[in-house]
Order: sequence, then C-alpha cells, then structure tokens
Amino acid sequence: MELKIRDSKGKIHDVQIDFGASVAILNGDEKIPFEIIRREKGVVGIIIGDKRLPINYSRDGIRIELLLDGTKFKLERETSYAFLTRAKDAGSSGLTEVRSPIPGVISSINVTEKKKVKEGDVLCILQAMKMENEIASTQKGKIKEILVVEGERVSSDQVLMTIEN
Amino acid sequence: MAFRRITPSKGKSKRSKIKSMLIANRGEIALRIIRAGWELGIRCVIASSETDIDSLPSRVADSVLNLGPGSAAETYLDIEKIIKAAKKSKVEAIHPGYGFLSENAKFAKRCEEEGIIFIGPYSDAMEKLGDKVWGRKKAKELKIPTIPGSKGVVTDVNTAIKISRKIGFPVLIKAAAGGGGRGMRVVEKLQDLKDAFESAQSEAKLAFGDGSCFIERYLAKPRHIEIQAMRDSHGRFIHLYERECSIQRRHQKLLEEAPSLAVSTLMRKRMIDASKALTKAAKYHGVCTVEFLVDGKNFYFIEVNTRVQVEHPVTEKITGIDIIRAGIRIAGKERIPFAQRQVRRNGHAIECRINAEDPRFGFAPTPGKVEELILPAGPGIRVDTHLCPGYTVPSIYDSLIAKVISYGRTRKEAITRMERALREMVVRGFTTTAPFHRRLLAHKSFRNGKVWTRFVEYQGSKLTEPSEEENKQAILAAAILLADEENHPDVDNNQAIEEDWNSNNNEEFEENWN
Repeated sequence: MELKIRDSKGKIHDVQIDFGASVAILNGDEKIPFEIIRREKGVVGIIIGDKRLPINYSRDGIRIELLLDGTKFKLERETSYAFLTRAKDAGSSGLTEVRSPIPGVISSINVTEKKKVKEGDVLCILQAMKMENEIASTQKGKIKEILVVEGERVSSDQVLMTIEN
Repeated sequence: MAFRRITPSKGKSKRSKIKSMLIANRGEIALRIIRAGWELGIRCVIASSETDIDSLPSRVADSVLNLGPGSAAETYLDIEKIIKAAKKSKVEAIHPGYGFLSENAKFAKRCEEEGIIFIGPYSDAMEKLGDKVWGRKKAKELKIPTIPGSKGVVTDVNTAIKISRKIGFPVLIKAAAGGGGRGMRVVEKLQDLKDAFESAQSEAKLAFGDGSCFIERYLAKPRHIEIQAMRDSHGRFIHLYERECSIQRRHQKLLEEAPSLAVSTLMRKRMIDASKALTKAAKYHGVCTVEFLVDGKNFYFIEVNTRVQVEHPVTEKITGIDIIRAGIRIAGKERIPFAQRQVRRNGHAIECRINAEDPRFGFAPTPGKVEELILPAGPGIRVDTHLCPGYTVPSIYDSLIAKVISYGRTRKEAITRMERALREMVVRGFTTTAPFHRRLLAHKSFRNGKVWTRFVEYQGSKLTEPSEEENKQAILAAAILLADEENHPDVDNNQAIEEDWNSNNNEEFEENWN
C-alpha cells in the first residue's frame, strides 16, 4: 500500500507499507520493520525500526495528530482531493486563513477589517499562560474578515481572520 | 538527614518542636513537605482544592480539608479560608510551599495574629526582602553590587547621556511603564544614544502613553546564579553553596544545577557574604535564596526569595542537607545544630523540570490525562512528582508535573545519568518538556557550560524542534496508522483517546513559579 504524507512544513513524503511483511519504506529508503501495539484501550505504542515508542493519535479525516514520545506532530494525508482544494484556495479565491497556532486568549487585535497589511505585521496578540504571542501576517494583503473579538478564548488551529490577496 | 547525622542525638528527641502543620499548597511540593513532615513526626494536614482532592498529596496526607471548588484565587490564595482550615484542623503551623501565599506578607501577618506558626520568616522581614526598592537600597548601604542604572525615570536626552557615561556602555533603555519588549533599546556606543533614546521614548509613548524610561547597564550574556541559605531565629547563618539557573525561558527556569561552573571561590565568598549581610539586615529566619546575575567576573544582587525554591533538591543532593526539614525546624525556633565548616559539598546535581507544555508552540500549556507513566529510577536519580497513572493534569494550575534530579561525582556523570533517566521516562497523554531536555543535554554549549539567561531563546528551534530522526518516525507512524485504519475500518483505534485529551480545555495555568 502506498500513501503520501504531508508534514507541517508542507513537504510531501512517499510511504510504502507492506502489512504482510510488516515493513515500511519512506521516500524510497531502506525497509523499516514496524509493529502497532494494541491493548484493550486501543493503540498504545508503535515499534518503528527497533524502537518502541509510546503513542497517542487522533484522526480527523485526512488529518492526523500524533503524540509520539512526548512530542506532538500534526500531519496530513495527501490525496488528490486535498491537493486540488489547496490549489483552489491559493489560486481562485485568493483568501488566506490566519489560524491560531496554540490555544489561548486573544488579548488584543491590532488590525481592522479592510486594513492593508504586509508580511510580518502583527495582526493580534494571543495570550497563553501569561505569555504574549504575536500573530504576524505571513503575506501581503487586505484584512477581509475578523472572526474573533478581544478577550475571546480560542482553540488551536481556529481561524482568527482571513486575508485577501 | 543532616540534622541527625551531623549532631549525634545525645539522647535528645529527634522530633521537631512543631507537631502538626497544615500544607497550604498542592502538587509535588505538597508531597515533598508531607515527606519531610513525616520524617520529623509531624501530623500533616493538607488544604486541598476540590480539583486536587484525588491528587497524590491529598490521598496520602494524614488528613485533608476541602477548600471547595474554584480557581486558585478562591482556594490556595484565599487567606481567610486557609486560616480557617488551620484552626479547624488544630495545627500549630502552616507550610506555604512555593508560589501561592508563600511570599505574601499579609498572610504571614495573619498567621502571627492567630498564633499559628508560619513556616518562613516573620511578616516584617518578608515585607522588607520582598520589596525590591528596600533590597536595592539596603544592598547599596551594605556595598553589595546591584546593576548600575538611573535612580529614577529619565525624560530628556542630556540626562540620558550623562547617566550612560557614568554607568558605561552597553546600556539598556527601557520604558518605565513597559513590558513585552516595547520601548526597549540596547545601545552599544555613545553616538547611537540620542537616536535610540528618542525612538524608545516615542515608542513607549505610543504603546503606554508615557514616554519616561529607565537606563541601566546592559548585560549581554548574564547567568542567573543563586545562593541557598538558611538563618535561624538565634542569628546563625549557614549557606549551602550556589545553584546555576541560567537555563530559562521568559524568566521561568527549566534546568538548574549545582555547583555552577562560572563561580570562582572568591566570587562565591563575596556572594555568600552579601547573602549573610542582607538576611541579617532583615532579621530573617528560615530558608531562603539570594539571587544574583553574573556577568563575567562581576555579580549583581537582584532579590531574595523568602521561601523554599522549586530547585532546592539539587542543593540537597550535593550537601546532604534536607532543606524542607531545616525550614520547619527553624520555624519552630530550633537552633541550626551544626556549623558552616560541617557543611560539605560533594559531586554535581542537575534538575530538569518536566512540564506539561509544548516547547514547539512557545511552551504553551498542555493539560491532559496521564495515560501511561514510567518514572525513571536507579543510581543517582531522584524524582519529585505528584503524577500517577490516570491522573489528569488540571488546566488551572502550574504546568510543572515532575522534577527529575540526577546526581554524579562529576558534572559529566550527572549529565549522563540525566540522559539515561530521560530515556527511561514515559509520560503518555500530553506533550512535555522531556524531549526539549534531551536535546538540551546533548547540546555542545550546554555541555561546555557556556549558557546564559537568554540561551534557550537564542538557540530557538534547535532546542524545541524535533530531530530529523523524530520527524521520520512521525511520518512513518502517521502513514502506518492511517493505512491500518483503512485496512481495518472495523477496529476503533481512537477509543484510546479520552475526551479531554484533544479538547479545548486549555485554560491558562494560573501560577508561574520560578
């Protein structure tokens, strides 16, 4: 079985999986043996190569969130549909979503709708655990819509505002 | 241990004068205090919020008093609730631990009024040492170096130039009303001062509506070094050497060690003399920590922490003295039964703070349920934790979940043991700072001891991002699990995910403890 995995930086990796032989091949490299460790509560661990790693995961459609040995990874299965949707988002609509990287509280919003922004402009301040995190624009454009208000508690990956090219 | 070992009991009671105490704290420190209390024959009552009622310290204490539901402000920070709990449980003393009410002079005062022994200094000593202005003033009187700077706010360029010349470059200009780095400028040389001062002023005015600034000497790569000390109510001062706490992010310590590689015998002596003079000036009794910034051969006094510190175990490891027990006995007006020359320092100790946080996202808190727990053990390893399998780390408190402390005859051995311990350790259920510590311990600059207070920030993603190998494992794991679900759509693998693991139950942790 072959599938493509998109990492958080947007890079796509080819993985071939042979369940019969219990081996996986990443990007055409060597064969790596694997084993899923299941207990009555579900998957608790995974052996990759010769290392047993504690694991939790949750899947939402093509998205998968792993908690592997104390580190969280957000990955996505690359399908032709996902590719097309992204291409459409980038191309025709010209709308970029600004998402919250971590859960927290919006302590201030530094822009208004219709305001022009450039790359690096601080859009809002997200407070998490007494720390102020600046959410900056990753591109040039115009603020189309602000979907949160000051003082609002937001979750990870929540859309905060949209920017029009 | 030390009290007994150093002074043979001579038939006297080994028990402390205090026979019962209320612990007004939670988590690992509450458990640590119960341990010390039991070793001294003390009845330990814990005041516990409803959230913590099933936690380890609440389960093992001799008795537990429920402070009810609600935030820290409604429980552990509610002075009258704690006083009432102490009276109800008929205890002689209250141990405040760290954080919460531990440095609240009003609370210490209320204890005094009610005739309850506050395990710590008297309220007036606490008030003095807790006040930075008093501390700075006293330090000047006692000729203890503080960071050179302007006495008050500076509003015009000419004064700024005069002061900067006096204190020497580089200088740091910071907004008096400031915070968050706005209105802050580092100026390397005199020629740049005018522009920098004016832009800092206008930025401060824009951000805070107030353009006044402070000027002080800028320390490029300072280390945070502190002296652990104790002083009894009869005036005997004992120091337990220094701790190096430079590994921090945004003023929160992550790794501490003792001794420090950066402290010479002479500097140590001068810092200890300063600590002795300051605690004497405040008529202090109890255990305390005197904090300094060290820049090359210079050191500057910052403040005194009038309580036990999170990182006290590293000092316990190298001196063999139980600091928590010492604090309780001193509060009971007992004399420190040994002399300074009897305090020996041996080997090297390191503490890694394991927090329920995600270092990849600015160390954001990640409360959740402990699905699986394997704690390290073996030679030279101590773990102070309140975790147990099935425990849910609440979102409303501090994110510290465990302290792993390693000891070795040399620093190298302590590092090796810590690396080994973190390999053993498994906390499944949420992200922790353990992977961050693994990377830090392997970092060349850390191993060479070349660290300063902004080291973690400076290294950035090198310490917080997973390695190539870890990324590879994640990609493979994702592919395998996704493919497996497709192959066996009938197997519900997701049932392992408890509701709260992935929920948005992410209220801020309330207390940030140093």
